[in-house]
Amino acid sequence: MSEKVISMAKKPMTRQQKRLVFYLLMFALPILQFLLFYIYVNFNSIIVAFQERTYLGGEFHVAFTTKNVKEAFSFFFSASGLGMLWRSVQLLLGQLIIVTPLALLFSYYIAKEKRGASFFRLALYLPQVVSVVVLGTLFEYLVDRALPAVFSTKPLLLTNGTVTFYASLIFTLWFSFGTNVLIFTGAMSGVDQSVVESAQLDGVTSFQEFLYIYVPMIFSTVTTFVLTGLAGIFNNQMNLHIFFGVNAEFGASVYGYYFYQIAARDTTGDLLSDGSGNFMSLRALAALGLISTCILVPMTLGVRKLLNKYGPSAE
Amino acid sequence: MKVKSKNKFQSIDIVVLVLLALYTVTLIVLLGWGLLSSLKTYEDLKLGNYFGLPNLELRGSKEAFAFGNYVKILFGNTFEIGSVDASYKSILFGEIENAPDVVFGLSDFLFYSFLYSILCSFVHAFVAFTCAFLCAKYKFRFSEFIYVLMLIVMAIPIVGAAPSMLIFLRDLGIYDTIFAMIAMNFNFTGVYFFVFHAHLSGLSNTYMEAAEIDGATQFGIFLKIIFPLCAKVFFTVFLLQFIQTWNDYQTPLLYYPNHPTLSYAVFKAVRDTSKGGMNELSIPNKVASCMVLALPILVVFIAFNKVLMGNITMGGIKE
Repeated sequence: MSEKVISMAKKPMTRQQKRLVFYLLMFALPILQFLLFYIYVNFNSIIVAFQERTYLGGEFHVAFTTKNVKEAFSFFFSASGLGMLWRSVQLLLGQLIIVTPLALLFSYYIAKEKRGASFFRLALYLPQVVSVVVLGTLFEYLVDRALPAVFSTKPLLLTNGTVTFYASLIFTLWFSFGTNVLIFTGAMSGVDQSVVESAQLDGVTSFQEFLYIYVPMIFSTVTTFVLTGLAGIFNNQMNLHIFFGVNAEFGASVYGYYFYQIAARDTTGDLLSDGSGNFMSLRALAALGLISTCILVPMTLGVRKLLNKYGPSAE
Repeated sequence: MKVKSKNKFQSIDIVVLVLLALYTVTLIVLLGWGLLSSLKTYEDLKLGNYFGLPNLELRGSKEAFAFGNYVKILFGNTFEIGSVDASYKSILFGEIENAPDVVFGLSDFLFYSFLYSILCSFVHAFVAFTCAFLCAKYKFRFSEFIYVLMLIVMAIPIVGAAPSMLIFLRDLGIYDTIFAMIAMNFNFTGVYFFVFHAHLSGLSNTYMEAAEIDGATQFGIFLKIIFPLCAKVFFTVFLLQFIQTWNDYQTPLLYYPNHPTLSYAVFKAVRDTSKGGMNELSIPNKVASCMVLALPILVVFIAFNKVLMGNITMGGIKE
């Protein structure tokens, strides 16, 4: 028996065993990180939403509560919450109705290498390279200080919530073409040229070529961007943090900014609301995040299904 | 594959050209105005000279531009921020004192910017590359599971996990540390996993098989054969990630407040309204600090724009 064990121990590992050992060793740490920083953190976000934690006598006292969820629900359906939701939806619509079609047109222009295509490609990507802190600051000084000083116009950002919101919205949409154009152009360069040439022989116009060949051919890429935009409805901060730090007027706020604003303000983890009904604790915020995720997941999956079913087909 | 149009320049092209020109003009005007403003004195702006060239008579100088704004930012002692009290209570370690009494200056901002950008970009790109390699080249069931899991992670947006992450980092006792920086970026979720996976899937297995026959270890194959073959795409991902982290001021602000990067410092310079804070910097000084932040990344962009502008596809083409 012992001889058998020794002979087994001396037996060199097979190729498959070596591969398996390497595979497990290399995957171990990333999987551990994923379990802790993704699964646990997000699971904890659910737990936190149902927790009340106090620090008394040098010890933590944790209790189960539905108070946070109730607070989050009442905020979500309050006039303040619905107003903020509407502003977030306007941001999403701006991306879907204005940015995506324009980005597709720009990409088509660049992919077809028309006049100045290389230059415009660089120009469109530049706002992704230069920090939004720089562009945001310059924009603010220009529209709120320089233009009012010279032309006696009203400041755009430092006015009431509605004007502030639209000024931030326009700035955000205007400088958000870079990544879309980069990816769409990459996808368009892979479109089969025999299809394009055949259509050109049939006398197709540029716009028809764009609409009936290029868009359907890269529609899976477009779908990815639409879904990313949809997922961003509760995450996009609309650059409000650049303009106002954590002190933006609530009337201009969107969900993405609101989540960051509370997390950045709350250094203790248990900040109390300011009594205005507009701000909540981190734990209630976690509950609000949970509610938002519950709304977003079926919505994203549903839109994906609809786009796949009714979106333009390459055929 | 290059796409050459056989169409004439049609009306739709003119509309797009006008829109692109308009876009470019706004961008150039904004950046150009910023550059010009950074070269003026505060007195210049106070007299309403927001759009003209710098007023030479005002300074009584023959020097065309006020480079003093840059000198003040780069060598003066006004572009500084104080440390913050980031003490907290950890479940594992109890009370953690984290209130360093120091003042951070430009050299600190640059150090933390390069540390944060290089370290985090490399760690994230390397982990994403490694896991994509394991999934693409080791056909175990777990590989398929991970691939589908990553698709699900991409498809399911999770909102508002920042509070939970803050609490978790504090409970672990690593809040506001470089270790947290590494740990948070040691992940393979996100789009770059799929970029690497697509690239590695297209790579022939014969390289690996030949090396195995020659007696190479699995780690040797990964490091000496596969990695050099994918160096270009790895470098592109690293650069894209570098630009993103260089410009990111929110993550350091939230998770590592006593490791201020240049982006973080410029944000503070622009937004700090506290008495004695950087609010005392004039607008031209602040705009100059913005230019100092933009310059290194513009150099990287100009040097590597062909690599960055290479075709990265996502989602594919319908056949």
